[in-house]
Amino acid sequence: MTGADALARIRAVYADRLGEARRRRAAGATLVGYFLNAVPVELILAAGLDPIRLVGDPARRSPLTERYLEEYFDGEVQSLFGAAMEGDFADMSLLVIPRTAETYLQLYYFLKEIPKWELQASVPPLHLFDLLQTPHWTVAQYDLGRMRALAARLEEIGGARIDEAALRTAIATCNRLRSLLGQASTLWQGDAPSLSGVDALAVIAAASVLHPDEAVPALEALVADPPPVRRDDRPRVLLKGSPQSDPRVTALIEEAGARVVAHDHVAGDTTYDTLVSEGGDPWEALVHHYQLGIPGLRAYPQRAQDQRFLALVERSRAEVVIFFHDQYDDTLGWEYPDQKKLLDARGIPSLFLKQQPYLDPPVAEQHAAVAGFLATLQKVPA
Amino acid sequence: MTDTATRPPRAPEGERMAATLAAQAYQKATQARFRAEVIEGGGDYVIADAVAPHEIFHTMDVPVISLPWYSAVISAKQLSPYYFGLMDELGYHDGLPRYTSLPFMTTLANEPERAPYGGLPKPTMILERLRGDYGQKIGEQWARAFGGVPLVTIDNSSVTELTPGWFRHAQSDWEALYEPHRLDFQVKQIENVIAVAETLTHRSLDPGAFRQVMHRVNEAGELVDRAKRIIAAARPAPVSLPEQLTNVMAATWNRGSQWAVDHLRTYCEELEARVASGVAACPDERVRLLWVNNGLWFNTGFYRAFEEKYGATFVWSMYSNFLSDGYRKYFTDDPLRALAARHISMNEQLHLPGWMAEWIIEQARDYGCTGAVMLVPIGDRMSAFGTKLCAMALEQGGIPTLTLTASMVDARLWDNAAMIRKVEEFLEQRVLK
Ligand code: SF4
Ligand code: SF4
Repeated sequence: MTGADALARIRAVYADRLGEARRRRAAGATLVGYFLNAVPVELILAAGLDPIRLVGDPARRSPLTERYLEEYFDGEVQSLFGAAMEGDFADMSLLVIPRTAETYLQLYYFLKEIPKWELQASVPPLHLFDLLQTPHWTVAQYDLGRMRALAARLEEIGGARIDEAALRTAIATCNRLRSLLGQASTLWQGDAPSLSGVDALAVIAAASVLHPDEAVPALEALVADPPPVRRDDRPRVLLKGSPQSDPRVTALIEEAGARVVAHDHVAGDTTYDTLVSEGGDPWEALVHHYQLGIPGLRAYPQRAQDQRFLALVERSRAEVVIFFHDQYDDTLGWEYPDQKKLLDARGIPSLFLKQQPYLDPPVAEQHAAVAGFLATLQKVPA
Repeated sequence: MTDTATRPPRAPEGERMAATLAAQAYQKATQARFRAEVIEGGGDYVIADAVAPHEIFHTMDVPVISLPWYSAVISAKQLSPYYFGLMDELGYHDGLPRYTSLPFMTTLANEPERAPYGGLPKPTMILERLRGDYGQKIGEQWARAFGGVPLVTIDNSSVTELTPGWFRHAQSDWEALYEPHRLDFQVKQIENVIAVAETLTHRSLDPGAFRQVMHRVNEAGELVDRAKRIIAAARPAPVSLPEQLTNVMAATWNRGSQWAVDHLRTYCEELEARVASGVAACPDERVRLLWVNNGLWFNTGFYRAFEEKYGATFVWSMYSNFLSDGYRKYFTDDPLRALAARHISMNEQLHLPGWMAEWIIEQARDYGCTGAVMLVPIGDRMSAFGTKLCAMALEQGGIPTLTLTASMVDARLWDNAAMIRKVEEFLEQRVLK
């Protein structure tokens, strides 16, 4: 496979995850769909099942969303609910919802309740993965139990018994994917980039959409045979905040005259920078990773999250940061003032786009805000 | 209007139940004690979430300041606009759930002359239960703003199956309802809280005293259930909703104390005496209503605004008998597991689609209510989730339901005339047909 072939494939599955799911299902796979970055795909692979991360689609609407969901839900969650109502997830043998964000927890309960109201709704079987991220021993013990419960559920839907050897293999495979993403990141973070921020999102996502049997060779091909580099002197932006599971905001920033070199959110560059430990007990290693090693809305202490953010700023040599928060954000806004101070202290300019709607966003306004901000940068003498 | 001669006496406006006055006096005395022992005396105290195991601290005789209570005091003193202004200045955007963060702002402002009671002194610890996503964020910053106090957290496990009829299982049959793996975890977390509390206060939790506290909460719950049966059966109702709430909330905040038990007993006796002598909140009562979701704490008069014209009276809110249905946890030998069961799904019982509606429908039947008004707060989405499905379920259960969307943050944004008109139209068009 050439790098160009790999990139084409990555772009295609990024643009049509559900099509990819349909294809694998038709080929005989037992699919386990999941949301967010907090479901241990290692377990799904160790059970011999086929994991695929599902995200919202701002263009996918269902009249049932407005009927049942309060407008205060994250836009992406509204979109996921609508997709579930329209049968988009019918290919999934199981849908795993992690408890790492309140609105996703609510989504779980709404999807459980909805068959009472919509008799024809074909919601797949659901599993709540009650992962907690408080940094305590007691919580680690709880999470271990939740891992075992998820494993039992996977076995129940037809997965193989998860033994230690299979788990070790799966951990190594997923670490391989994380490392490959780390290597690939020079393609969008480097001085002479060969990939845009939009492509970066696609590459990162591909590791959780394609089966590893396909994702590993695709990423290897991309790293070994990258697209040609081009000189790019536009300001280097780090985009931070609510998940950008689709490329709209990144594209908008790049159209406005900047380069998005890094993403700090649960679909971005902080999702692959920590590996699962391969020594010791694999269950404990997985718990440690998902409890403490991944970014998440509920994760704390804040200092640890901020250090990770600053490390990414440094690694990507971002010159500016754009904070982008969802319309009904009730959490990230608490962190913003401190993070702004951290950036100010380092002389890094930032723009705060708060309360941004996911559905029907004010594109012209957003564009103007970003362009206006970028214009102020150029006025500063070098 | 009914014939004045045969109509039972209306409890005159301003003439409260003796129990109501006693509850208010007790709250005052508690505050005086807090001022003397903590603010002036520098004693230990804990800032805690509303839904947290206060029982531990009650047993250890450590005062607890509940977050929403202090927020309410700030709002009642009309200070919220000032602190919201400060939040703007500090960069906290106005879509954040601001109401419960008011107490945190008084600490950041550090202006003792402005804050109620001179501001909260440095607590022994802050106890946050991590429902939602942001409690830990505020807690961390607040603990830092106090100059570094321990933030102790209870993380919030989630129930995987919503067993129908939670209120039939919640008192005695709770082990399966709340799921054993969650209870195991909650017990461990509470044990951690106890260890930290003992370490910081140099006191110890006496197992015998704790057991008594846990029995007394159940006893208080039984009395609230008795009050419920009195109010539910009497036509007209012998007590207004604001007075119900004063009495029940005082007992809830002081749950586990002998005072709460004694108080509720006298409250019940007074209710019975009122029924016997025909004293009523609204003697011309023709329609009984439910008040669903958050209370209108800044305007309890609203609950009574429809009596004069329509004989329509609110007889129930979510706090009327939650102390009986939600708090009571009977146990044979393990009071700590019962305490774990008490808070583990409390918000879920009040707010999750399915669980919320089925309880409220049952309450409507018990109290003979034929309509419901549901408040959906703006700027606190945690309390708004599930309200659509709840309203639909109530309608399906034959209970016409009016939804009022309003800001709970700023009382000045409450358009009283418009809200009254909405309820009046609802009564005329849907309830009194
Ligand atoms: S409806 Fe009004 S006038 Fe009639 S009894 Fe009730 S409060 Fe009195
Ligand atoms: S009514 Fe709901 S939101 Fe308010 S304190 Fe109770 S559980 Fe919390």
